[in-house]
Amino acid sequence: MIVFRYTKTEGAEFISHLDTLRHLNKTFIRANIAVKTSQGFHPHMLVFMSSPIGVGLKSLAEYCTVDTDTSPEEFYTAFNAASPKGIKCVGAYYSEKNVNLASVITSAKYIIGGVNAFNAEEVLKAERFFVVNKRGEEKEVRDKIISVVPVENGIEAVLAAGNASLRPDVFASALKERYGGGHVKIIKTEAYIEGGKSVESLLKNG
Amino acid sequence: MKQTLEEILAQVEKPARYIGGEYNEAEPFDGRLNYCICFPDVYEVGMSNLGIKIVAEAIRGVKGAYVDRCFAPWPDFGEKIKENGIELYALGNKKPLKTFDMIGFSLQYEMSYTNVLYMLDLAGIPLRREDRGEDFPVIQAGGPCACNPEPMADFIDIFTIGDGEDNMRRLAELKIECKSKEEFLRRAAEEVEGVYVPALLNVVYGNDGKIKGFSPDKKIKKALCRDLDSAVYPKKFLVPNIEAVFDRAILEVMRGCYRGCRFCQAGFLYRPVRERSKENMVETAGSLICTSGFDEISLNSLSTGDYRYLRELIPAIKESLPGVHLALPSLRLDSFDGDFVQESRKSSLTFAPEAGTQRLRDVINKDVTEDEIMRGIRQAFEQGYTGIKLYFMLGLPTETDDDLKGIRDIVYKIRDVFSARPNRLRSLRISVSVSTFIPKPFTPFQWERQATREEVEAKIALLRKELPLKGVSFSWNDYALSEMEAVFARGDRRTGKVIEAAYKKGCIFDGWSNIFKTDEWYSAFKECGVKPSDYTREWGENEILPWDFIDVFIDKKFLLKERRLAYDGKVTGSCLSGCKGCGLHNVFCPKKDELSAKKGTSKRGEEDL
Repeated sequence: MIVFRYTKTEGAEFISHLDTLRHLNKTFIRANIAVKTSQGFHPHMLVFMSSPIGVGLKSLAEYCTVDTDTSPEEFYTAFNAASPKGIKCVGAYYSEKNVNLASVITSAKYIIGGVNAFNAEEVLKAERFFVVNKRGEEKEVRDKIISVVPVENGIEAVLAAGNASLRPDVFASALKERYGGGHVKIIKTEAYIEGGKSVESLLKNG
Repeated sequence: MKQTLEEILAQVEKPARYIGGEYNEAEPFDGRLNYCICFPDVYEVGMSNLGIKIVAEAIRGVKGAYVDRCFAPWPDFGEKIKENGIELYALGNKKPLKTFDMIGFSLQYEMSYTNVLYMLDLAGIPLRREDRGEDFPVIQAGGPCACNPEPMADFIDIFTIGDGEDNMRRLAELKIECKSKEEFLRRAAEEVEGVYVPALLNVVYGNDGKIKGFSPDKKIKKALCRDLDSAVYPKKFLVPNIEAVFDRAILEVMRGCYRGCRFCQAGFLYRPVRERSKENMVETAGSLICTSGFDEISLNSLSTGDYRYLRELIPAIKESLPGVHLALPSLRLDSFDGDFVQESRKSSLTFAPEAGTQRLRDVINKDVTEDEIMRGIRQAFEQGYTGIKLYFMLGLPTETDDDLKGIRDIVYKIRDVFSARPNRLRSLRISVSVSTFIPKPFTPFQWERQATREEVEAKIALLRKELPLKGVSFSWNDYALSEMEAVFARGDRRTGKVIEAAYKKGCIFDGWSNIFKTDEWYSAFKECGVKPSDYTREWGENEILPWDFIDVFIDKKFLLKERRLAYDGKVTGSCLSGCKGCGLHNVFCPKKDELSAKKGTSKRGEEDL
C-alpha cells in the first residue's frame, strides 16, 4: 500500500471531499496506477482518505492510503503527471498495512490570516472558549485548541482534528467576532498523529 | 463594502462551479478570435453536454481561435456577483464575457431562454440586439431550439441551424476576416450554411395577427454534416471539478434516428441517420478514457439499439478498455435483449412506451408492440433488474381515457411477469412518469393543439385513481411548465417580449420545477398582451408557421401525410424498412448498398419487409 500526502490549493480547495475522491480515482486511471478494487457487485477502488477538510480551505497536508503495488517513487511521478491543478502529491510512502488515517490523525496546524492582531495567550489561558458551529449552535471547544502562536500574516493554530475536530473556519469566525478582522484566509500546513508527531514519522518507522 | 470574488466563493454553494481550471483545460491565450461558449444552465448540466464540446473543438481548429466557456451561475452566486459589481466571466481566462469577440449560446430546451438573458445581463451586455453596438460581442445561438429561433430573435444577432461541425468553423474564420459586426452578419448570412440573421428578415403580419409572409422570401437551409467519421470530435473531455449530471465519457455512435416517432422533434430534426464507424468509436473511446480517467463511457444517440455495429462495438470497447463500464442510455424496448444494459449500475431500467395502448402507439408511430415491451421487461428481470421506470405522454392527439387505462394495464402486466418469477430476492419497483405532450416544429404533430389545463388535470386524476398500487410510484410534471414550453417551441417573434418581461420579474432556471415561477410567467404574458392559448391552439394546415422560413429538408407534404396516417392509426415504420420519402433523400442519401445492408440487420425492418 501507499500512503501519500497531497495538496489542495490553486482552486482545488473548492472541491468537496467526495469530489476529491472522484478526482483521485480518475487520476489513478489516467496515471495508469493499478489500484486494487473491492470485491462484490459494485467494485470500487481501494482508496482511503483522511478526514474531510471544509470546502474552501486550502491544504498542504491531506493524506490518502491507496492499495497498489506501485513503488512510492513511481507513484509520485505518475500521480503528479496526471493529477488536476492544485492536487499534487508531495510525498509517497510504502506502508504494509492500511493506516486508518481518519482515526490516527488527531490534530492539524493551520495558518489563519485576516483576524486582527490579538494576544494569543489570552485564548490559551482562558478555561473556556466558545464558537458557533456550522449548524449555528454554540459550543465550548477550549480543549480542542492546542496552540495559538502569532506569525507574520496572522496566527498559527494547532487544532484538534479527526473524530473530535474543531473546524479552523469556525475557530477563525469566533476570533473575528472577538477581535475583528476582514476576509479570513486559512491554509492547513501540517497534520499530526497522537503526541504531535508527523504522519510521516509513523510511516517512516514502518 | 464590495466583496471580492474570493470572498464570494467562500459563501456560495458548490464554488468549484465558478473557478475553471478543470483537468484538460487548455492554456488561455488572447486569440485572433476569442469565442466563449455559454450554456444557459448550471455547470453540472452544461459540462455533461456533448454539443458544446463538439462546437469548441470545431472552432479550436481555426488558427488563432481561443475558445472558452461559461455556464449560468446558480442564483446564489448570480446575486452576489451582481451586488458586488463583478461581471460574468469566462471560466478559462477569467475575463468578462464582454471582452470576447463572439459569444455562442447553446439552446437545448425552450425553458432555458430566460437564462440566456440572465447571463447577458450578468455580463453587462444589453439584452436586445438593437441596443448593442460594435463594442459588444456578436451574440450567436445554436442547438436544437434554434430550429425555431423566432422567440429569441430580438436578443440574438446570429443563429446557426443544424450541425455545428463545419459551419461553426467557417463562421469563426469569417469573424476573423470581417472588420465590423455589420459586415460579418451580412456575409455570414450569404456565405455560411445554416445561418440566420434576424435583423435581415422581416416578418409580415396580417390583420388577424397571423403571419402573412417573410421578407425576403428565402429559405434558410440547415447545415448538414455529411460524414461523422471525418468530422471533428473532441479527443479529450474537460473533467468537471464537481460531479456532473453525467460523470462519464460520451461517444456519439450515430446522429439521427430511423424511427420517426411523430411527436419527436429530434427524430426529424437530426435526419438523416449518420453512423460513425466501429473503428472510429473504439479509437475515440480509448483516447477519451486515457485522457480523462472516467470509468464509464456511454454510447449515445437517439436510439442506440439501432446502431448497426453495436454487437461488434460493445465487445471491442470492452476488450480495449477492460474495467470501463458501458452505458447505453437510449435503448428502445425492442432492442433491449439482455446483452445490453443502460447503466453500469444495475439499479433500474428506463423504457419509454410513451402511450398505454397499441392504438395510440400506432398513432404516434412508436412502432413497438406490447409483446416487445413485455419481452424487454422479462429480459430485464432475468438480468436481475428489480426497478423499472416507464415514461408516458399525456394529451397525445386522439387520446382517450382507454389509452390512459392502458398505462395501468401495462403496469399490471409487468407486475404479473415479475410475480411469476421464482426466487425473488427483492421487491419490484415501478415508477411511472408522465409528461404533457408538446407539439413541436418540424414534426407531423406541429399543427396539433396542446391539451388544456383542465384536460390534463382530469387525465392525471384518472391515472392517480388507477395507479395507487404497492411498489408503483407515479409522477407528473407541472402543467404551466409544459404550457410555456409549448408556447416557446412554436412561438413567433412576438413571444420574445414575454421572455424579457418574465426575466425582469425574476424568472430564471425555468426548467427547474422548484424554481419555476408560475405567477410571474402568467403576469408577464398578460403584461405583454400575449395569450398562451394563441400558441397552444391547433394551427391551420394552410397557415404560415413562424419557422416556415427554415428548411431542415423535411418536406411539409410528408409531415401532412404522416399527420393523416396518425389519425388513421397507421404506422409508417422505421427508415430501415425502406425510404419513406421525408425529403432528406433529395439532399443526402446513404448509398443504396449501405441501406440494404442496414435492412438485413434490422429485426423490425425484416418484419416490415
